[in-house]
Amino acid sequence: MIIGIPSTQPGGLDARFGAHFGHCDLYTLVEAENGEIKEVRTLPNVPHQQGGCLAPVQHLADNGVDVLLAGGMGMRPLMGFNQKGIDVYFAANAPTVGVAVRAFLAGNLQKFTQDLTCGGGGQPIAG
Amino acid sequence: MAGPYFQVTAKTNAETVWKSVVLQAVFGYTTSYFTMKKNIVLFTPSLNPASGFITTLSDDEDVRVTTVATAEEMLRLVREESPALVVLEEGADARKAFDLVIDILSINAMVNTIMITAMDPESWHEKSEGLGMLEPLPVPPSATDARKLLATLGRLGVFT
Repeated sequence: MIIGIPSTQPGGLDARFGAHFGHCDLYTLVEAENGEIKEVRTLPNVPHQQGGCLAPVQHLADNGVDVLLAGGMGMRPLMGFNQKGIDVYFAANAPTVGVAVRAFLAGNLQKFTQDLTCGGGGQPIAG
Repeated sequence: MAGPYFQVTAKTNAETVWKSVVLQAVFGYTTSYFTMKKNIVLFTPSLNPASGFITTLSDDEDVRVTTVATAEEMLRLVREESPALVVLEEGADARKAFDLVIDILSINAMVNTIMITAMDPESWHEKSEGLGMLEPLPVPPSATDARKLLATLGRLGVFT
């Protein structure tokens, strides 16, 4: 399983969590197996503009990501991830990438639902 | 059509040429269907089909414009043809336009959407937040707006 995490430079488990998946510096990709971290690498983000928020979705899908941990996201990219078969989990309060990944592997993160999206009526999240 | 024939445009890509070669070999002709035109669906009942906005879109060699009269027809096309863009006029249907956008995204989030609206920028931003829509078009949109829209779609990689 490949887990994608929006990150600040330079990425990796000690990097700070990226607040918005589409505008993060880069992604940390964590390969996990049986609840354990096997490999950690980084993936550059792709630039996108107003209305182009599906570019990062396609980018992560093309790079084999199965699960995304995110703090902020709009409804359209969330639907895009779901339609691509990528599960999204809510990890807004994680200080670092490593904390978020370990929380996910321990089963402590909730699925990212539409009421958590920007403009979805949930708590305010950076859009 | 007899003889070797390729429909070559400035934006011809490898896939188009490949399909043209296959068609040429198998059937001896090529068709406009395989020129990979991108479908733009217009759900804009109040726009004149002869307006500069619509004709500018229609005249683009990379675009096929399909006009629909109902929301149901629009959603059917989204489901069956995965258009590059849906242009939606606010007030075109009894349902709220943003609800229709959510319906579109629920079917296929890859489909781009844009709304023709007189809404003030602040209200539009608030209501469209998270829906990933293109910047709205004014009422009525002009030929210049169509050219800007095509340029935006180009930047988004729609025509590549």
